[in-house]
Amino acid sequence: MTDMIEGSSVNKEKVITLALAGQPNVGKSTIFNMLTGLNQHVGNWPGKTVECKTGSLEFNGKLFNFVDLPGTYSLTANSEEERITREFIIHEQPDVVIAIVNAAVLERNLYLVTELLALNVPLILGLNMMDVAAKEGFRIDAKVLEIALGIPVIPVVAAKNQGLRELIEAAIHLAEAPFSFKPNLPEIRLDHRSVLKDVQSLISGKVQKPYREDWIALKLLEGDNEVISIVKNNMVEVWPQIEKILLQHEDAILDITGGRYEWIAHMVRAAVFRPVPGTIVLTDRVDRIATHPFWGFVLLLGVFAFVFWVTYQIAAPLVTFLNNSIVFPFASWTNALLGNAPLWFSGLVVDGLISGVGTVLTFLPVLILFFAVLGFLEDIGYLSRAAYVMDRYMHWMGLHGRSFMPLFLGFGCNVPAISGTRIIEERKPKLLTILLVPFVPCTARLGVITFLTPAFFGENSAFVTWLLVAGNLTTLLIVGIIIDRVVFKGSQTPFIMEMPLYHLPNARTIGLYVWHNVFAFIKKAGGFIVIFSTILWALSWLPFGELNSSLLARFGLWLQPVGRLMGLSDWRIIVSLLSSFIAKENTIASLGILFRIEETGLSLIENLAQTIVPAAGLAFLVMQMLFIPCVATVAAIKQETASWKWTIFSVLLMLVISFSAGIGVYNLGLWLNLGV
Amino acid sequence: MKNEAKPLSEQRAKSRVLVHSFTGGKAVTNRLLVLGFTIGAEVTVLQNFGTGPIILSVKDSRVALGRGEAKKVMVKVID
Repeated sequence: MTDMIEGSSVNKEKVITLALAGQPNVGKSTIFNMLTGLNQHVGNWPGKTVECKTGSLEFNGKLFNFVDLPGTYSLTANSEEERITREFIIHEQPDVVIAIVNAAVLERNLYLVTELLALNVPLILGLNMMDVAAKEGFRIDAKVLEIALGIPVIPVVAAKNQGLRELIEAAIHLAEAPFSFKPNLPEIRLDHRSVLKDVQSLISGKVQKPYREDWIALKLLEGDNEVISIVKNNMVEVWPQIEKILLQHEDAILDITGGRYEWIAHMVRAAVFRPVPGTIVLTDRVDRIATHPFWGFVLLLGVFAFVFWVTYQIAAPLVTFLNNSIVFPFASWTNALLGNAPLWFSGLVVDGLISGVGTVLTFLPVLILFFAVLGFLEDIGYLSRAAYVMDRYMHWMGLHGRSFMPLFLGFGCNVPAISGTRIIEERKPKLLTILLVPFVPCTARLGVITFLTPAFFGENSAFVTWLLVAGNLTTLLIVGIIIDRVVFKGSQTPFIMEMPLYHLPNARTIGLYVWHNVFAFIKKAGGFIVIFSTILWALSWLPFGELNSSLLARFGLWLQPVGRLMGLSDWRIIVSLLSSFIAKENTIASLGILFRIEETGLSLIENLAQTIVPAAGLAFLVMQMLFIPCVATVAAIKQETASWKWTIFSVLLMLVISFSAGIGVYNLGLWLNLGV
Repeated sequence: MKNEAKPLSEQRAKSRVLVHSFTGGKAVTNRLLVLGFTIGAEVTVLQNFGTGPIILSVKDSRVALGRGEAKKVMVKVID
């Protein structure tokens, strides 16, 4: 990671590495985005499912590496993020760590700083959201705080690009003169000071570099499981003695955390003027509605409706525009251009390649808008309120509020939703959430059903679309309750979540959020869709250059008996459904290719309406909504669960449910006289 | 007698309490400690509707806590 920019021509000196650390909700990502812009790389930490963001900045003719460490409340090995952050600082030894704190939550945020100081790494403090703090009634004197802590303190308003230059200058200054770093260090409370000394003398001389003896001793006393197992395995001869001490002082953690907060209170006393207790601020006023069990739920439904209204109101005309003004003209222009080329070649390019690229292209407006609205809701602080309101309902499935966020994201695209389950710390609820995400209809599936429903249900199509979405969510709930009771035996998991203050959105943060999510989609799914469209066209053309005798037709005919169970005796329909495994929106592309429009002179919709009775059409739509997740989602499930067993379980679960639902709906439809 | 330690989940909105002890497991307790729920820390209940999660204010931050977790934090009311 640190060698990322080595070999760059900017200079031949060692590139300085600056690491950003901070608790969640301090605006750390905004600062990272402001500093690195698009010169950033988002990947995963080696072998981990935690996002790793690195980037670079040219400042005064020099190049600097930035590492955005995961947001963590502390550096105890409670979570993957915490382990990664401390391992990075201990092993990679960045030149300077920039600790970002939210000025409005200063004391709580400084807790992480006390842990960073214990690692003895050059540290500066970025006092972010000074404007938010001022609105809340805080007055903070950065100079006084700097003197108290003994480390550089720089006030910043990242969202308005204030103080960032000073922050970098201070970091560079410290990187060039690390010997000037003389912080005030927090001390452990008197009661445990001698115990800490005893532990430290027991491990003295036995700790491997780059770990420090004082840090290992402190973490042992805190009961840190990872450090305990390191010591247990590597210092066998003194472990029994250490274990005895630790057992006698099991409650030391209460004292250590309490002591740190006392130290913090002491440090900030002279620097902070606090608001009068009981002052009603904007966040309190908004939360009276936003977190109310009833009104909060109503608001959430409204927000939900708004997200979709905006997405489809603006995106739908854009999609039509892209199709009519770019994709179709380009296709016919290419067709004319290839007039003299062999028929198979123009077919491959126009019906295969261009129609595939067109599918991806026309899908982008929906995705971009959905993520823009969601990014906005996240940035202003609303999403945690939504999680809070949904907590009581998520408990029905043994989940808690946090699981709601990835599920909500799933309406945009299931792929980032699966990755989004990382915010759930415990394995069981995380697994269950991953299994439930594919039941959330993504924009691609919603696009397919909004396009196809009119073929079977005409003017009732809006109602049917609504029923289909409700059907998916009901299935999600039922499956969630059953899996929780049967597979996970109904264990409950703790729900502890910070509710950040509402604040103004930052366009750049939202922009990059959209960029990363949409780019991830293009990268993961785009290639698949184009390649698949081409292959599908080839299969529908070979070996005789005619559809009804093609390889695809033979495969479809072979599957016909299965299709009959849900009234789908036309092999082309079954093949279209199967093609959604590659990407959900492929269904339309496949139907377009298979029901070749020019042959009948009818549009695809008219063609479908003539071929399929409403009961079978409904079965098809239901199956499309519940069918196995697309390839990109399956890949994400494998990555996130790190288990083929659960990945296959998820695919089979969806397959069984969608086929059963298809058969059930078809027969129900016949009974309701939709068979004509 | 008068000021016994009671579960945080039973405290009404707007009441101010001091953290007394924890009855839950180590993992949850550690997370709560880090967030500022140290022994003796002052906590204000911002929202509690008797069912579902509750919202608290501690060390100038707002924290949502599941009802199950709130039952495992024992507190004393400040008069």
